[in-house]
Amino acid sequence: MLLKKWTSLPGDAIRLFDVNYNEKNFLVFFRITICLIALYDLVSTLADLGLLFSQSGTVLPQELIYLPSEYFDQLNWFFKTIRRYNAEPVFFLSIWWVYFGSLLALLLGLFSRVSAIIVLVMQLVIFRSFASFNYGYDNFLTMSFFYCVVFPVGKYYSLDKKIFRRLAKPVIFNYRRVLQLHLCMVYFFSGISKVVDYNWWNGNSIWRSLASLYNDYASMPPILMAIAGIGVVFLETFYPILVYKKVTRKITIILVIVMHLGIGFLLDLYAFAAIMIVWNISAFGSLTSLKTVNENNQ
Amino acid sequence: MKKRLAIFFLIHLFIVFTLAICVTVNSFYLVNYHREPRIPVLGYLKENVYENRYFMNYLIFSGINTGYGFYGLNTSTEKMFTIELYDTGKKLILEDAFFNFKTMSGFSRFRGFASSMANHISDTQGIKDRDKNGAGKELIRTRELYVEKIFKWLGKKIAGNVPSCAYYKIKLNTIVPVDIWQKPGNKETPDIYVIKEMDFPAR
Repeated sequence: MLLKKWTSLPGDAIRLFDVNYNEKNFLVFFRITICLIALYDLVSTLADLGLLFSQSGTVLPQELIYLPSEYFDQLNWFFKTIRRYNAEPVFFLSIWWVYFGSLLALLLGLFSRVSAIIVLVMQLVIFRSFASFNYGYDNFLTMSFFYCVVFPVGKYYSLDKKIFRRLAKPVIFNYRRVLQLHLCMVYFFSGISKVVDYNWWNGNSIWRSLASLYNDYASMPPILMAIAGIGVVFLETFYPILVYKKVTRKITIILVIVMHLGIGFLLDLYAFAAIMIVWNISAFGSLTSLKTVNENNQ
Repeated sequence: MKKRLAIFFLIHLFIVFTLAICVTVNSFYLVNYHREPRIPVLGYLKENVYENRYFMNYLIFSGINTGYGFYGLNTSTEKMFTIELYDTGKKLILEDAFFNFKTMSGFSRFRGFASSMANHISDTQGIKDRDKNGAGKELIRTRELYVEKIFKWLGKKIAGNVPSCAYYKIKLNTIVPVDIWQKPGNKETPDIYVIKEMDFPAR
């Protein structure tokens, strides 16, 4: 009996990724929303991009920014190579346009896989060059672009589909499951980190993340902060169970979206909030508004 | 095809899972015991497989080498840099905290940088405290020099654009953490503490 169970394990693991005919909506929604968020962030930071990544206008010398970063070896090699060929002016002038152009191409689904690879490489080169200025959004954006490379995101509602008719074959793999499992791990481990820190239980951690010279949230009643802290701990730790159960899935996603909207508005981290909301909706949201079940079967 | 894809993603998710365990346990030990623990099997995997040069490239390209940027253990308060410009008579002529950042998104990133510098300074202090026999002297000096260079460069351009500026002062400030259940009343403005400050000549 036990042996039978053990031998069936690999098969069960593979069955995890059986299609559920929601792949089309998922792939389209994920590609378009991730590109829109990246474009929004690019445009909203436009006036400051030169301070973060340029030939001579950065707030600190570029080498000094990436010196302590874990990407030092790769970036140092990269910039040395560019310098050796005196390509710095061309490089810094064109890289933003290449990034912007490939993002647009990915958004429209034009040469999707190639565009996704270029976007991923450009995002790594640009944003990891100022790794100390990075925050959660940049990490999730890299992961999202990686998934855009490995998932067939250009298969539907794309220029690729118009150009290459052979792409019309149905998807045979549940890519959405990958994002679901990844997201469950993200929240569970984030929740566990908070469980063992008593400052999340008494609201002190919420105060610390909100208190700023640029707002007056520090004067909020402690009881509100304690409730928010405990709420976040519970929501994140039990996220995998709550979204697994169909009966609690919808309310969990709504609460998580509210939590991220709160983070976005209170801490001015709009892009981070947006990308987390997109991951949640992509993974567990009801994406059946686009009529696709039948089309997927075709 | 499906089988191959499933195997690839199962391995990918296994890495995400094991790295998450390592990061969570590591940060718990660092915060509570000021040292990294030895985690059987996973510790071996992290040190000998995940930190392998070729494997590291996969982690970088997939983005799973990073944390998730969520608030976790030991949440810290806001950190911010300020610059003060003085003339030859030691009179304050300009005070600024934005360092030419004009957008909310750019300034948020700059505040994140202030936080990472505060961590760097605190880690250096930790190394200093543990270094009883002076073996880490070189490392400590390098880390301190790095902080000095960052402080110097942060103000160099701003001060250079103000002809009457004789010298400038860079401060790294933090909001003093409080226990919200014991703080006197509901103060609207939190108290500030200067972590580090340095003076540099403008030219």
